[in-house]
Amino acid sequence: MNIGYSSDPHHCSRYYSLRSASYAEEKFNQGILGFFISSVAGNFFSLIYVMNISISDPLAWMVFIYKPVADMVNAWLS
Amino acid sequence: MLEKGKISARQLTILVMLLTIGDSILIIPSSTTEYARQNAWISTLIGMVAGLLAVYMYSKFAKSYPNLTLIQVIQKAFGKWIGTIISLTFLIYFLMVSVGSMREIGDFVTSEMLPGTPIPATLILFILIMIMAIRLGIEVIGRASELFIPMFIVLFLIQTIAIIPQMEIVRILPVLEDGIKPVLRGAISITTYTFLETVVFLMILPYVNQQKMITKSFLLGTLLGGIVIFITLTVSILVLGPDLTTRDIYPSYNIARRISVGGFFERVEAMIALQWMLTLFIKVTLYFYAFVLGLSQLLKLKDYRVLSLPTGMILVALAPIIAPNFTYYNAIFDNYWVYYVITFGIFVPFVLLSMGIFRRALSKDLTSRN
Repeated sequence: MNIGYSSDPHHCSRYYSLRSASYAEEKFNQGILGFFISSVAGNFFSLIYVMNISISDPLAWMVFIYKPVADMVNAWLS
Repeated sequence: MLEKGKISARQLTILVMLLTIGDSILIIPSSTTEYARQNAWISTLIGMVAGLLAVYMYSKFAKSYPNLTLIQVIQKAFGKWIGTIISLTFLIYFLMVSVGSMREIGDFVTSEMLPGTPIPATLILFILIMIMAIRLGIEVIGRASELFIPMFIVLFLIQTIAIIPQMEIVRILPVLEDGIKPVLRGAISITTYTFLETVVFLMILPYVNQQKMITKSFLLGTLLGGIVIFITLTVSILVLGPDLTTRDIYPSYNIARRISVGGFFERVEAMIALQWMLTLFIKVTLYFYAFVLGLSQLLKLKDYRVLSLPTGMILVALAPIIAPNFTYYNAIFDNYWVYYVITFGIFVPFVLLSMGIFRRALSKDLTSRN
């Protein structure tokens, strides 16, 4: 952001107050977003480690999608 | 642009080389020899040609959509709704590769180097450095790669030269005993794990300051990385033979264990562990960076750094649950992961590139008619 100098003190203070308002708003929004994502991630993190969760077949979706192609290629190249 | 940093063409070459080597240096020998046996070195050569073609396509892609990352291109090409869905699938792909690589780090360290250490302890240490790298930006990652590369080359040369006395040429014979088909299947593995994973650079190419040098740097990096993989795989077969290479999870690590020069230069396997840590750090950092940057672009955030810590936590939490054990991970990795990578490494970029070429031809045609 280009912060120029002005000889007019009123202009300067208004400029800075506008800048600080938008800056504060931006930081607030980022803080809210950061807090939201961090809390989701934190809960997820503690769920896995504290409750010691494990999934027996976590990549089943990949097998479901790619099995026909894998079978076809393996049949052709074996 | 969310990222203000720039990398040079030389840094791009080094990053591509280190990412190409990535986890392949430890894992690829066993998964390729499983199919191609003693002919796996031929698979590597075929894979390298296919990989260079794919990389040439990526550089054409970058030229068709200058100054746009992959996520921005998808948004532009497919519109808001379909674009968002395709972008999300791409972001999940970036996340999956990061998580898979993190899991490999955890498994390797706990099984070979620090038995008894819990996987999360290793992962948390690793992710902290990655978060730091991501927050500092692509410029710092590029400079770090310049520091890593001399170390990597010296260690790699020492290790390769020291093992020469144990090589036996008879182990790669007979050539093409079972025909070309198993070799082609091996080539599919090596092309996808080693070369197609460079698709992540479509998120980074807009930040290269010498745009005209992209094709040359990208191809050179891939070629150098491919040569390292070729040497590693050939050495594995020449020293261990196809049977032991297939059975071993980390053949190149066990080769380093066999090094004995003059009875005093021994137990140098930590060298290959260090090489692997360096290359995998670059790989996971770039994938993680692409995920965080892409997500920020998709959500239209003003700063991507806000996402680095929470997504890092998600990464550490996902790594232990992506697979219940290493056998499961390897089975999926060998049989299905290849096609997952092909979808995002060839299919989607090819469709986008074709759309770009078609649109340009159409607009040229309309201009000439008017």
